[in-house]
Amino acid sequence: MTPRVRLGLVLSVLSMLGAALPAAAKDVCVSDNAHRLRFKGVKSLKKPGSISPLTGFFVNGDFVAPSTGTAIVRGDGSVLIGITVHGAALGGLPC
Amino acid sequence: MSHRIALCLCLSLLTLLGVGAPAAAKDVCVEDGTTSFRFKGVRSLKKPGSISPLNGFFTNGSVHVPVTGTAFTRSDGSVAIGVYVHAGGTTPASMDVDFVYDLVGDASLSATGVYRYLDGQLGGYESIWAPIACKMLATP
Repeated sequence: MTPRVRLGLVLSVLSMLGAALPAAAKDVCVSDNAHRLRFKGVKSLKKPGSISPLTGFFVNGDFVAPSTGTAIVRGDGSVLIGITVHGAALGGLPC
Repeated sequence: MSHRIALCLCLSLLTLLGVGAPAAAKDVCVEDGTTSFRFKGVRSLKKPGSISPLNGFFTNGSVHVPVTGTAFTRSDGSVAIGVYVHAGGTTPASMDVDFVYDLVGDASLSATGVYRYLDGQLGGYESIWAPIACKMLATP
């Protein structure tokens, strides 16, 4: 096999793998005064119609609870977010 | 290039693609009267024990809100579905409360069950989901 053929094969494999992999996802952290939320593997929310799960945890001082939700991108580019914090079994949010 | 090398390369490619490709997942859309849902990347629910997240949106007229849920396949092959609709804070005011769906159906998310408003009211309302083509649902 010539070096040129080998290079072509490697590039083909890489491009095929790239097509097979899911869209880039990253961790996103947000804060609302004393509240903090960390979401794991959030997908890109740039294109209208995009949908990403929001799975992670909520923190307020010593109170830490799992959270689940969804973000959707509307036609105008704005993003709607819905989150549930599963803290009832952990004593609830301290007042 | 010999046939042997070509065969090895083909097998390597197939193996790599098999590893790199995500488990089969597809968008699923259902409707219940004037209400519709689109769920993104739903995993196969054919085998007992299967579990899939249900992330997407709820649409009813001009209301489009995020939803979060889970579906899992029971040992008898039926699929239990739970979905939370984040409608609080939306307009019209009649929809300004979150609500949840609890249904049982099949792997296509054809299902029957109830939905309940999370405003302290007791009881629920019947819900019947029927799969529809996702192209029928516009971007929110």
